Amino acid sequence: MSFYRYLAEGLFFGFIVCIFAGAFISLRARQLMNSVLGLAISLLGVAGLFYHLGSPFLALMELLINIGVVCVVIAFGIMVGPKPDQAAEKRPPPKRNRMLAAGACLAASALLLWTVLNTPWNPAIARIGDFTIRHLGESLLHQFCLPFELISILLLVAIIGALIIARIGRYGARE
Amino acid sequence: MQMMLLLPELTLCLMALVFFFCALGPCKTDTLNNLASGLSVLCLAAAVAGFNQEGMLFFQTYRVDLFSQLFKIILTLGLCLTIWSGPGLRGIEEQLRPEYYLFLAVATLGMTLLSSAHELLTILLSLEISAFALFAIIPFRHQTMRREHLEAAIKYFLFSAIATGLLLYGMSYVFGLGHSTLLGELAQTLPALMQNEPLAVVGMVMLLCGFFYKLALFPMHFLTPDVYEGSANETTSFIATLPKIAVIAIIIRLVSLVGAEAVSLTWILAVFAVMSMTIGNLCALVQNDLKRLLAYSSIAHAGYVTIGVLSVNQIGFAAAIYYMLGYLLMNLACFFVIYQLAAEGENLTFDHLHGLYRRAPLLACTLAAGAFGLTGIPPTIGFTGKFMVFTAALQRGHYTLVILAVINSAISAFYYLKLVRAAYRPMAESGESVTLSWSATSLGLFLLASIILAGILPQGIIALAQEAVNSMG
Amino acid sequence: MNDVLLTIILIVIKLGLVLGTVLSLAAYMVLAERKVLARMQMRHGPNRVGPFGLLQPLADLIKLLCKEDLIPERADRWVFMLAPAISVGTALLAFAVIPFGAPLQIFGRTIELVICDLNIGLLYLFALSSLAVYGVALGGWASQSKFALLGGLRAMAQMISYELALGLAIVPVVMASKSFSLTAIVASQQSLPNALRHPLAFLIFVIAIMAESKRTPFDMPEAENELVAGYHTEYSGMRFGMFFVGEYVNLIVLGSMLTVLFLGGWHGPFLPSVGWFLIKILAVAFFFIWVRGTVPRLRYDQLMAFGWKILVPLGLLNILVTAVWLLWRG
Repeated sequence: MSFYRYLAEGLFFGFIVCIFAGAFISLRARQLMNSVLGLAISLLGVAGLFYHLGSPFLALMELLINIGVVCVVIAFGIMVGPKPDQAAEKRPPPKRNRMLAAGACLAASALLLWTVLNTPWNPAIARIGDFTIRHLGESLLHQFCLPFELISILLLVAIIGALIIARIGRYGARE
Repeated sequence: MQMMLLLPELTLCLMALVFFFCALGPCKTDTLNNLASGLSVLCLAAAVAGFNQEGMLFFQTYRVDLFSQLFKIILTLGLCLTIWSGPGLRGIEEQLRPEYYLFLAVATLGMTLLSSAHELLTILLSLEISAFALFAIIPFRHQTMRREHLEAAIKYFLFSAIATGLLLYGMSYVFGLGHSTLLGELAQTLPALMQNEPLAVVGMVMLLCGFFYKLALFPMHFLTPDVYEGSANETTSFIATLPKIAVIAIIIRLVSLVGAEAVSLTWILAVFAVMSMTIGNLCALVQNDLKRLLAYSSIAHAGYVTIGVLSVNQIGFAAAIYYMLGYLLMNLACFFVIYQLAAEGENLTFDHLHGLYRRAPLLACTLAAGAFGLTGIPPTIGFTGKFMVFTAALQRGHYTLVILAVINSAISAFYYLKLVRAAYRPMAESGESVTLSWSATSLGLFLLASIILAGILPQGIIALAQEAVNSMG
Repeated sequence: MNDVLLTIILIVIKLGLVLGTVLSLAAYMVLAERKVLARMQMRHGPNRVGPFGLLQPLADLIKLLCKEDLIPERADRWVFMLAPAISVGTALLAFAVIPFGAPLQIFGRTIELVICDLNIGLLYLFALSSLAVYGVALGGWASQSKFALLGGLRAMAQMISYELALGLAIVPVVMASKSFSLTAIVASQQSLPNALRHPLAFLIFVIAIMAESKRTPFDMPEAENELVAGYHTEYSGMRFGMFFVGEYVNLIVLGSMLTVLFLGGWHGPFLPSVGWFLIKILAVAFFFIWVRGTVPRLRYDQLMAFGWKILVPLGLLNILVTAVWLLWRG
């Protein structure tokens, strides 16, 4: 059955490439919309990783939720962002800053890479064999019931906060 | 009785709910104010009532012990004092006042959850609940002021997102190495990992950086002044005090989990502490805006309190708790004076303090007590706190660190005393006097008394703090 | 190894059959729509190409292929070219999980009449139908035209909003059949189609898929008297054709979703199962055309308010009622 294994490995690297390509597009894009597109591609790759890890449910949920997220960003990008012809004339940051930033990023990634590569990763004892929906549901409502409930509080706070901040903008317009 | 274990949290939820319903209809500011004062006292009472509770809840994710209950008392006390010291919410847009109290309650709820959280995801979510509530209230400042509050809100939000990213990144390493998100299980694997794996140290530092953002410690300190300056006075007094206390609780939990043997972590924390003190104190010297000054001072104080934490012993942790209590009282004293002086909710500079000793003797006195305390002059709580922290560090042999901290304290004396001088400089013509309501007067007296009394008689509090640290186990 | 080969061959055959059927069905759906609409408006409709105009789709195809492919000068070329492909691709991919017939017995092998029986097929379907939003939104944005942009924005907001109602309407079905697998959902409707078991969910679902497919009365994104043609205003030639085909394929997908989830799938007396499935899809499609012929367009704010203030609360209520009912029944 090595055929399937190769297929799986190939898919895995495909997803990784997808994530990186998306991130790169997102960073280098001149226009806001292209960078949102990069984000979408990158998130697609992340969903693929979930699939590769054996949980298609999580992969599809990730996809579903992120479509909503990306669409909201697109809407904001269109309404709030600069017009495409304005975005083209982007001022590059001063050269000294760029060098400093590059240095800092390289140092940080070198440190992280070095430590990650030098760490013997002990695989965890396989506590659970299945990632079925039943198992997910049980762990969300038993082991992780408190975080699960906290998420709902968090979302509630976020929604109320967003609504009110949007309303503040409206007061400002009236005055 | 399971209800008793969650009493403070439930009361805070109740407070949030009440203000949620207030927000639905028109509500007078006076009514709101009385409600808020009453409910916050109720929360404090609930926290005190739940003091001796102990237990593990929700499948090991939530730990109620003396340590968490002590922090819940301090947090609800802080909520009480901030609400009492800012009656009328002069700096807040009028239509938004019910929501303002709603978010204060929710933020405090998040912090109390944080002090009890015993699992990484729970910690993250409680931190985010308090953070989201704060994002919402920063732009509530009155629109007639300049529009700095919007800048402050955006900055606070964006950098907080980055800090959360760091936190999660660190958590992923800790989880990858320790194979668990439960602190109880991590406690068995993590101390050994910290000594053998550099990655565990990197992960832990990144995890802690997420909290340092709230604490305004060195690598994550840079936007504190802007945020404090842009927020309304009453919002600043909340942001400057309560989140830091909650975050210190979780940092103490995490650091004690890692154990005293993690030398590299201690080193990193020491560097952060020294940088934080130095930057905070030097920048504060040239400030003119009082809130900016207090922001830099809070960066410096984050450094001092970290010294207590990095000593990783019982007295160090107890000293950190005591120090945070003192910091709460002294800072609130300063913000209380600022709020009372700023009739329109504007930002104050040194010029506004002139002749204060004649215009409002009580305010001048409270400000002086707060400033002396922040400097660390006996007999205030600030002195005792610093003394304890330094003692703890000396016990562990961190001599250089203590020397640097003492030098820093000396530098800080300059700008704190500048505050006192501005308030007490003799003036030819006296400006209009500030009238204080009876509740403001009593609050001023309370702050004044507590700063001095807790400084003179620290034994009870310290014994309690030590017991709390022991209960963490 | 032989087994693997056989499986692959089977999949390829099924793919070919399904794709061929769906694409030709989509082409003739266009013709059917024009014919039926014409009849409703007392006209004859296309009747010049071939007998009864039956070769009209072919003629349209040739025309579209031969037309010049225009790309607006300031358009974002890559995104502009990508958008129609997303639109068609997601619609076609969705067919992978739809069971279109009862399992067949050939040479002692059981052949499931579904390309891939995913155990969370419903979510897959759902995810792909929302992915289609990308095509519309990006197409509208990349054209650099105001009409297209407005159309794209409207389509996006509408689809995201109604996606919610759609999802909420599906939940009771999943709760009752205890599975996300479409095959299992079809199997659970052997005695009684879900439309009768969950009438409210059925109603919400029908309305939501009408909005999802951007058809009258919810065709704000392409309202021709305000927005020319909405998000595909600037497209021409086969790229426009792809949007067009994508739309009709999507119609078939949504029709089969409705069939599978609420109308009992391929269950039915006398006729073979595939036949029943086709009949049900065509009936749904006819219903859609009929609605288009009779119901006027909504205003945009009415559309949003209807989605958020009526459909979503109703959906939530329905879930609650179903949960109570399931608990009570044990």
